[in-house]
Amino acid sequence: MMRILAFCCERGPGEAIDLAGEKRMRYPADLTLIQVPCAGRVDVAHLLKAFREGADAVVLVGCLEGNCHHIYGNIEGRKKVDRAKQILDEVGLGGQRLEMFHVASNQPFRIAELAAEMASRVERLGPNPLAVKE
Amino acid sequence: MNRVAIIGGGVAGLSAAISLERRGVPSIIVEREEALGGLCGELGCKGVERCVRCDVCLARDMVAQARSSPLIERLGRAELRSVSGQPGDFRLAIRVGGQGHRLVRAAVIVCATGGEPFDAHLDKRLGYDELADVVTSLDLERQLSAEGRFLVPSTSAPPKKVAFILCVGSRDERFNTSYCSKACCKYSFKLAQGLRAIDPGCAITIFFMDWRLYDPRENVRAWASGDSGVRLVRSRPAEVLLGEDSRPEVRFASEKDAIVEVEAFDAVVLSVGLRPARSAAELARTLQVETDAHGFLRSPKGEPCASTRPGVFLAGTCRGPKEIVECVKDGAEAASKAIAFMGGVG
Amino acid sequence: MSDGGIGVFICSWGSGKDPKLDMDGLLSFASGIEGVALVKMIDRICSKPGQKEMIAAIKGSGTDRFVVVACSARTKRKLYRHIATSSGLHPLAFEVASVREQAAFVHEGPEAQRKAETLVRMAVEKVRLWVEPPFEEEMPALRNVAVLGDGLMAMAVANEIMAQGLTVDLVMSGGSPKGSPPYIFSNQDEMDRALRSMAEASSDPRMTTIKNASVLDFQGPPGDFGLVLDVAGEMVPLRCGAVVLAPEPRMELRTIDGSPAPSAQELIARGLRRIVILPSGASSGIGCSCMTPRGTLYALSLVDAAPGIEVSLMGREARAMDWMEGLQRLAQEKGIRFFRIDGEPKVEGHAPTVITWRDPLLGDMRLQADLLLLDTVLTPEVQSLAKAFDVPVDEKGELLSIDSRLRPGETVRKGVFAARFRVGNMLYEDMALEAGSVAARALEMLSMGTLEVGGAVAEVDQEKCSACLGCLRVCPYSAPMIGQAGKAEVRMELCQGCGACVALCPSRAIDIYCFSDSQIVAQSRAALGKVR
Repeated sequence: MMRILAFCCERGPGEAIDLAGEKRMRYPADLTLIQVPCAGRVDVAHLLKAFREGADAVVLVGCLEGNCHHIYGNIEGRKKVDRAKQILDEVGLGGQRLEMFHVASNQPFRIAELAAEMASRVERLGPNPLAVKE
Repeated sequence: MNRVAIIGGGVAGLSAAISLERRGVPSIIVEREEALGGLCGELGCKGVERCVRCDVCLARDMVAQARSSPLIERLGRAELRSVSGQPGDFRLAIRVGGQGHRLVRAAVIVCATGGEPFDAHLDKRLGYDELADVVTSLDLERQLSAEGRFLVPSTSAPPKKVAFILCVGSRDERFNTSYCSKACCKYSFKLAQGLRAIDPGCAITIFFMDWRLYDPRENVRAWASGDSGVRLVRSRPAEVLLGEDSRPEVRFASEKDAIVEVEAFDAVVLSVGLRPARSAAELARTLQVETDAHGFLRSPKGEPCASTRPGVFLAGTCRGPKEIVECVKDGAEAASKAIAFMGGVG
Repeated sequence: MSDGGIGVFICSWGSGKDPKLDMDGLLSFASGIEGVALVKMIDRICSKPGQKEMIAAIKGSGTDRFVVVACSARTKRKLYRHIATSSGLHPLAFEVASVREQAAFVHEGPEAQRKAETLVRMAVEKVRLWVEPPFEEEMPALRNVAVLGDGLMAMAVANEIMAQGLTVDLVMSGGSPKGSPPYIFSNQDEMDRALRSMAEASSDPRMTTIKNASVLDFQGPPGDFGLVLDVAGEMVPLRCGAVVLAPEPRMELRTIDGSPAPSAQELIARGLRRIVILPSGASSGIGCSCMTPRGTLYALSLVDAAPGIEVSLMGREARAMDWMEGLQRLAQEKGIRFFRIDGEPKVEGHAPTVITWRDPLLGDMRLQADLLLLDTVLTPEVQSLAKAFDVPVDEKGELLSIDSRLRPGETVRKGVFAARFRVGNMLYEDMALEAGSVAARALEMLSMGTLEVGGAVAEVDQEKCSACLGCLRVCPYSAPMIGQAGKAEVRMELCQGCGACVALCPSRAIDIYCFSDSQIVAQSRAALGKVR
């Protein structure tokens, strides 16, 4: 089983997650969701630590650009993702394992879409080499 | 007794309930369907990575807020049968779940029953009946809401060329809908932006009469001139016919020359207007309020959200077509009027 | 971190009907987690008996925090807060494992069960590290609103506020407005009523009017703002619970040299017969290039008073909303002409002025005018308001009010609301609706008499802070400030808990309650199966 960790803003994406549940939309159990008050809450360290703890892929899910309740928290989050991607490339883990997605509260189908996207990347790149070592 | 009965759990009704709740006033929402959300519950987000400010999620967020509030009681599958009593002490007879009954007492009634989209079947010239690839804006919204994309009905493939026809069932003497439906310019603009974001390879042509966007920050012309995949044509198409290659063809008077043009598209979207709900006349009788010349519940001039009866207030498209944000404002204003009628809070 | 142990409450309905989770299995799973002192299955937590049972269980044990294993937190958060406070705990001393929406409804069989266990584990690990925020308290909210604006909109807002029993300080920048209000009245009756209510408001003892005032200073927490006004050279203090900004454009039909549009009699007297009305263009950002109802009404008044006069209107769109639609048709029947033009026409000469343009269907067009009138918009001055109240201004020069997420009328400054004039909503009743709904926002904030502050807010460890000002710059709410000690402090009454400052701080000096760094890391580890 893959390990895909998603940090999700509790507003847009959080509502989309609930809606996906209400509508019984299936998505892989490999995807585990952590809710944060805003995508801007997430630090580069949180993203990298997740890989150190064995995540095969990590996503940051924020609201659509221009629709962040805290104005530009999602932009702040994106900056952290970009920085973390650089570091992941440098250390050889692959920046492709990390991605930022934008999901609106009424786009529950996007949860399954992003899970599928990351799952196919993990299949291509292989499991997290740090996890295998343990 | 300071409870407010809100008939209708769409965006306007929810807005009223939430505004009341924030001021400590309890309410009960009487909603015909199982779930809250109204017409906006069927609409989809039109953004991909960027928000295009279509406001649909605003309505969605209100459902969650209303459901989490202890001051807002919700009756689903509930229909208003009759109203007795008087302003300050109304008794509403409600039919619940198709068979049960409930009597609800409320000091004030806020009617937020909404409107209905124009039935595109009525405009025979636009081919909604016969042509599979002529859809309404609502059909498009539903697909976007469910899947985040739009496929041509007959081919199940993404379209490369889409036409929007505005003012379907609005500003049209033939169907007794001579008014402007206010919201269609905005939602059509947003739908077009959405389709362009989903597939930059899909070219869009919008047939319009006048642009009536109420927010000055919304500039359709700037958008169109900056996007080579978008074409604005000021012309009201006469017909949509089946072309030889089985694609819909739009027949319209050219704005460039004094000729009639015919152009084929993969799909044609009819931007339908809003009309009063079928039950509006009966509802007006039940609530003892007046309707206007078009059949919407009437607010006296200069008094938004009032009805012609004290103690009964109106919010949302039941009193005339509006954009989503206007419905939200209506709800807040109806709440204020309700509170003022009840003599202030607490 | 927790002395009394963690309580875990499993809602028997949390499994959802199809597919079912093994809730008993979750119960024994939870019991096996270190630090969990109490595990209990409750039949329908959201029911009254369920709540009672849960409250009794918490009180009876020594637990000071709990996890609810049930459906989504979104709709039940207030309920759980109520349970927490009724049990003598802090209202935020809980976490929720949404096993219904995030496991039962979206996964199959054993996978759903495994995910549910993971969610329970994550919630326990998070609540284990929960630290009680120093406060979540109520601050007093003054029942007085400062309304800033010179026109009808400000008056309408003031009226709405007074109707709900609060008092108003109406602050006007001038002595009285120039030009006419930009609204269209549907009939004389409506206009009379509007003017009457303005007059009544002016003499209402609940309202104080301050003229010729500008804002020198604006301070204080929402609910208790302190303004200092410059009133004709004198400094006047003002306290209020909320501020409503209602800057309003004025509109005028003017001649090219700036004088007001003449009446029908004047036109006849001066022998001016052919009148052309042009829009002033989109330069103001609020004005537009449309043929407006104002122009149509003026044209009708001319034609009714003096049938020999010819009026033409030119513009890109014909804006005629609601009942105005019929008015335009009426105008056309009376011989008033509407020309749709894209772009600017060429205007040359004087007495007569010649206007030329190209129509795509009719070819080259030429119109002669004895008098040219411009439908002008006098934009209100918002820059000084924006600066005084720290409200950003958008690209069109309007006070930024984000409609999509914030409630219409709100700005990013808590307690500062903005009523917006929209060119499409020129009908008086549209203005009344805008005024009413913005007033409602202010009333929602103030009518309860107190404001909740604190809770899941950020806090600076002053020892670690290097005063880099990063948090000040990133915060959309201006919550951080540099305090007496030269270090950053977060004003909890302004903090909205987004955490952007926490993520940004290079010294790791800021953390946030209820979503702390250690909590997030603990949840990640639990999610990845790294906790024994």
